[in-house]
Amino acid sequence: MEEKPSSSPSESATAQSAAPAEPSVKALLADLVKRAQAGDPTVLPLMREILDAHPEVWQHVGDLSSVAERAWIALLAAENPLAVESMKRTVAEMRLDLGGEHPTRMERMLVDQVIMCWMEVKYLETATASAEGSSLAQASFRLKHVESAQKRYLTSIKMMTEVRTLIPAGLAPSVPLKLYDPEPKHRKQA
Amino acid sequence: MAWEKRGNLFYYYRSVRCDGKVKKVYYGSGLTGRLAADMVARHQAERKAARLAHRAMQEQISKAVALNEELGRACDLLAAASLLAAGFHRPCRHRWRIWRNGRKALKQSV
Repeated sequence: MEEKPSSSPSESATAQSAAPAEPSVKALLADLVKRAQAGDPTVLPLMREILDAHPEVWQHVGDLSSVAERAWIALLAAENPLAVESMKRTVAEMRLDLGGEHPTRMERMLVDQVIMCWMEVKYLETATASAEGSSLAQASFRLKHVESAQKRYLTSIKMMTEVRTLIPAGLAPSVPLKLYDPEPKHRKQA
Repeated sequence: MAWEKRGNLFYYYRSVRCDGKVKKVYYGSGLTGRLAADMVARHQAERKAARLAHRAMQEQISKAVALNEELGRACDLLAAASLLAAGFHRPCRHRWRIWRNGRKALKQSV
């Protein structure tokens, strides 16, 4: 599969407005992944083809993350316009920091997941800390909720790091570096 | 029935559960009874509003959590598909590593 680094805002806007992926494509992809993980390498070319030929699969994830972002911002900011604006800016800054200069589609998707999980953890931690007059059972239920959110958060970070290590397309510079040029331009002209 | 008729007059009572038994607490008739009834009604309305707000908040939280879970599942699927299509595999839930057979199959298809 060819991962093309792209970070244009127009592309992400298209991704947000696009319709969700057809369940059949998603189901087919899930089936292929299952077969490949069971040790069948013959499905890999088809899998690569699907990933390249069906951008709606990626767009579906983009839609999901934008909806989730709005939901968490509404919860964290609690209808305070100043808090909403500052949350939006924090999220944008995090996206820039984690994504780097030219993240791939895959990296952007994983960065979004990390940010959503971070928002979930922050919200649940605050809610747990500020819960008043709750019983021991309620408090332990809240703690379990926070723990599962933290687990999701750490898993998402691990996945992002793993993908970056194994497919480091987004970390490579957009203009390829030339460490040594045996015939520089001025010599060629001469 | 909080208002009870005794003769020609109405009296305000409130049923309260105490040690597993229901007791009637007497508040009075006329203005005193009306004031007590208003106070109880207002308290009940406040509790109902708080309960509805709490339920709405819980629904909002569970929706957001469900979205995160769905996003996680979709990301896991696409990340796994991308890594497999790039020639890596994850045997027995260990770390992702190079899959020679997979790479061979991918090379043959090109």
